[in-house]
Amino acid sequence: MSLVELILASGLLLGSSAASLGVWNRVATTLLEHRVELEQLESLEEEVQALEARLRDPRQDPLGQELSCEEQLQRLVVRLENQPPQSGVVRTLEMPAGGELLLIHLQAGDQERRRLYSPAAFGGCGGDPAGLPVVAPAQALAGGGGNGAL
Amino acid sequence: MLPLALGVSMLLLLGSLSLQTVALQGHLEQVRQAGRGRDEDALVGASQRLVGELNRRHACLLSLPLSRWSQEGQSCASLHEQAALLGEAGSFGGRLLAWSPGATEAEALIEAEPAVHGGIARRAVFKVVLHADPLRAQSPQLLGLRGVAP
Repeated sequence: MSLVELILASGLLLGSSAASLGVWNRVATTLLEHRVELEQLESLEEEVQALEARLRDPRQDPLGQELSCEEQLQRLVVRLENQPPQSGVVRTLEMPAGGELLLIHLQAGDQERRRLYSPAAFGGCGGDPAGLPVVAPAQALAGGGGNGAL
Repeated sequence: MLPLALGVSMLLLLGSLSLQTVALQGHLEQVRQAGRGRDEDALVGASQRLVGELNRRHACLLSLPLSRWSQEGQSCASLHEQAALLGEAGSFGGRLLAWSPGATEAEALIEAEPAVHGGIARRAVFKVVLHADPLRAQSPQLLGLRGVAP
């Protein structure tokens, strides 16, 4: 084994080791970041599921009872404010469209979710007598077959 | 000595490449999960606005399958209003593709634009509880997402 071969082999090993270490270091940092981001996404998903369960909880004040949409909206807000979000999640409530909608903004680190709810979609407000069917409701419901598109 | 150094260097570089592939897969998974959450939010928001809109202004449509809206639904929704619900950029932030009412429940198929530009348009099926007297839809519940090729 000549000295030149030894120097070449050492240089090759040193170079490839340094390059690999650099790549491993970067990959480790990236994986750590991804793990944190995935945890944030999972926290947000859990919060969204908890939000849905809270809004649909039949043991709470029924949202379907006859109230104005503004009152229904206030009930939604109160229901949410009574149970703060889990740690690491920041929740803000907005009411766009003149108070007809509730926008829930959830943030965990750089990740976010935005859920929009309409008090009228809970069935207890906003009914317009002009929009009701001309036939009896039971008959109207019985007459509605599927359109087969689903 | 030199062949051994070459072999070890190749192994190091191949290992680094594998690690980078793992990191890339993690990144793709995180992007996919974030996009799915945003799509779900958009679809849930669209369903809330749609059902709120139907309850508020077009309750007679609730008992009719989509195929009968244009003939029998004009008592509470003009063709123009129906087109706004079904159009490319629906008035509720999505497109209603199917509405299939049964005796006590209805299913809605809704499409929302992709959350990310160039992404896949998402469709979702929602179950809605129907109440008679007065006829109202209540609390759309997401049954499942479907991707649509662009």
